[in-house]
Amino acid sequence: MSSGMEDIVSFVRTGRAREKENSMFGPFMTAASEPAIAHGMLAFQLTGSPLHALMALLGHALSSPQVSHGGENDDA
Amino acid sequence: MLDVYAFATPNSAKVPIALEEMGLPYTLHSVNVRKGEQKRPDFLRMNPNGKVPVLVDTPESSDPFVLSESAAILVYLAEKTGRLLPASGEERARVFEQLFFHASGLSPAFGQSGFFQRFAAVPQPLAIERFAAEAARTLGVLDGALADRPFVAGEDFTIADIAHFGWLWRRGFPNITFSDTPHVARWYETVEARPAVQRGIARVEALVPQD
Repeated sequence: MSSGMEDIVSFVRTGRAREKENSMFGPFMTAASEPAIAHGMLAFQLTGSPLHALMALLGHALSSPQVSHGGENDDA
Repeated sequence: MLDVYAFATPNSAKVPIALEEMGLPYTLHSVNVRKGEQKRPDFLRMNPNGKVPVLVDTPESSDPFVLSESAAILVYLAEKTGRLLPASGEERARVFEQLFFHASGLSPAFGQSGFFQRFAAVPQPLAIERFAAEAARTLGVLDGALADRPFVAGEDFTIADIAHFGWLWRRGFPNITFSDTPHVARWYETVEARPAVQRGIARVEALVPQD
């Protein structure tokens, strides 16, 4: 793995750790944050496709906790 | 005085059903999990885990006793009334076996299966396959248990039946059917026909806003 790629992967990991610590992230805040951008960069570097980079960003926005309807599972 | 904080969810339903079966009066309070009310500070003070149901038992002469986790509530109510739980021995152990199997096996499998089928914005095929298979497998285990006994823990209706009934009542959430589990189907029909079960279900269903 090139050092540039290692930097991106490291960036993603630390960004994800921060995201988990901060419950205030909304879906589009998440999309605009470091891990989402880093995933987009990684997708672009791996595929050379702006479309893939955009899809990586959209994936972050759509998979955030705020749109997960997790409340339906909040019974035990 | 008994207060129940709940919504029309699989685990919530168990508590009103048990109270109806035991003939205990109670007040039912809505906690609308679709609006996130289970995460409000006043609810989190009762249950820091942020999940329904919660039972509050307030005796006349002492402080309120607050209890979460539906299986724990079922045991508490059974011991309080001396009903739906054998006092000792193998029969009591069999009820706990089914309660723990439900809480650690069938219930989470059903819940996660439904979640990944319905709510994951980005499809997760591995999670869907994993939890759908586990839901079907645990239902098969229950069907095997019911092949040679009328109720899940033996000859009599117990709190273990109420525990399993909650999730099987909501089996549509993980897209479960009884087509391959005839013994579960027979048992479900028997439990569903009990007047107390019908009253309990009606009360939790009435918690859902009709808008």
